[in-house]
Amino acid sequence: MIRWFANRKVLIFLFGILFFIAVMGLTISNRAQMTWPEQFFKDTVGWFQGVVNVPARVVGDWFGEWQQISNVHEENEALRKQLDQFARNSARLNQLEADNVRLQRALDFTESQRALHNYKFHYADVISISGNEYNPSLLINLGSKDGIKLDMAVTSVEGLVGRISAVTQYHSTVQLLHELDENNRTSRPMAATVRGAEGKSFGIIEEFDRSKGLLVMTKIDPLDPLKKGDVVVTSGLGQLFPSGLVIGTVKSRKIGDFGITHVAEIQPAATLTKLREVFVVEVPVAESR
Amino acid sequence: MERNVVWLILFALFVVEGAVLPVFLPVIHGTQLHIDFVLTGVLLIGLLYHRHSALLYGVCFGFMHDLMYGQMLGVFAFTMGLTGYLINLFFADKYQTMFRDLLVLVVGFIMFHAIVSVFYYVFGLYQPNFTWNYVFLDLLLRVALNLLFAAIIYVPTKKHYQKMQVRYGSYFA
Repeated sequence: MIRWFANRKVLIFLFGILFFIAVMGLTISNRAQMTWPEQFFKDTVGWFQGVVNVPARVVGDWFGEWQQISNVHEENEALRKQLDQFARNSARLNQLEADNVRLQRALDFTESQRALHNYKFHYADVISISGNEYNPSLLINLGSKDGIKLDMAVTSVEGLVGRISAVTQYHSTVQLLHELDENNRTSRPMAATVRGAEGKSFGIIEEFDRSKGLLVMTKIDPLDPLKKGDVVVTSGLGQLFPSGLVIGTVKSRKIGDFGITHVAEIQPAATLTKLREVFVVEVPVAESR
Repeated sequence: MERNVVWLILFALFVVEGAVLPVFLPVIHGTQLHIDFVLTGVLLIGLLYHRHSALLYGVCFGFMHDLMYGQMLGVFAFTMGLTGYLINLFFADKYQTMFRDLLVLVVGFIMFHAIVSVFYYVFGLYQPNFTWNYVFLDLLLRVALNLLFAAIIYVPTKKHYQKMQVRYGSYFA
């Protein structure tokens, strides 16, 4: 074998590993803002990716349509049922909304309190994905120029997908729910509750079980009414995510490791693969967070 | 121009790998299949040309990957450069055939992913799980798809570098 114990090479290798580990350590924390060369680079490559992504989508959609054509009938049936329900619900919703506004007026809610749940949903196209499971992330085509900020919640039509982990001027990176991990310094646990029992139920989602593909909700009170089949939403108490975003449904509940609190497994509502478009949730008033 | 065409091709592969590939490759059991275009390219350069070239391309394109998607900078840069370098050091000789080189690439792919996951594990960003789902779908299928891609670009790469060697001699050494 080649003289690979030649001193100089080993020395260079050692300095290399030292240098790179130093760089990793320095850049690992969630920096509030990226440096401008990074932003410039990311926006440039992001622009290229956006350009090639558009025709790829068109062709992909065309093939996708041919695959879906077989189950159009069933889908139509299901949608019709949903439409019926939607009409009923929207009538009820209108009434409740009017009630709500009237009561808020009567109780002298301030302007910011009233705007609290009026989220703005920014539509964004997913232009590229990282393609490995160490850092499952997406690049979307909205950036700080569009009002996107670090740690905003990101949802798909089905439910919560992740959060914004880095922002450049025209693009931002979405860290998917996969990253949730109690040992991970950069992951952000979220406070969760059950839809319909917002005041009574509480737990923290801080782990994604990769082998099962389920979220783990911990620190649930033993007397908590949470049960299998409940829809879990963000509670807003964590101050990171706004309240009321759908996370998933409860799949099972059991006693936790120390026997003091309960643990529940949650099936995420959103599919985290094949994401084409996502919504970044902006809470309108800054004081409300 | 002929020297720089590899930079352009690798950059195009980098862009396509992130933006076009996920649209077409299917999802199996909740895992998005993926092909490491750039890694395959860098390892082939290491095998068919020179270790210093592989190191340079590996560090540059690995760093690009870190910048675009990474939670920290330097992991892919270090690992891709190192893998490209080592694969040349250990496996490049006068008796290379395509079949043998593809087998060597398997070693390279697995080494790359092992080192990257060790870095992510040491920094507390990733818990490796050795379930069937991960080992089979994410690693083996990925290696198989990478090999398929490597088999496609093997002959053109080899021809290109033979031509370069005749014309310019070795690039760095």
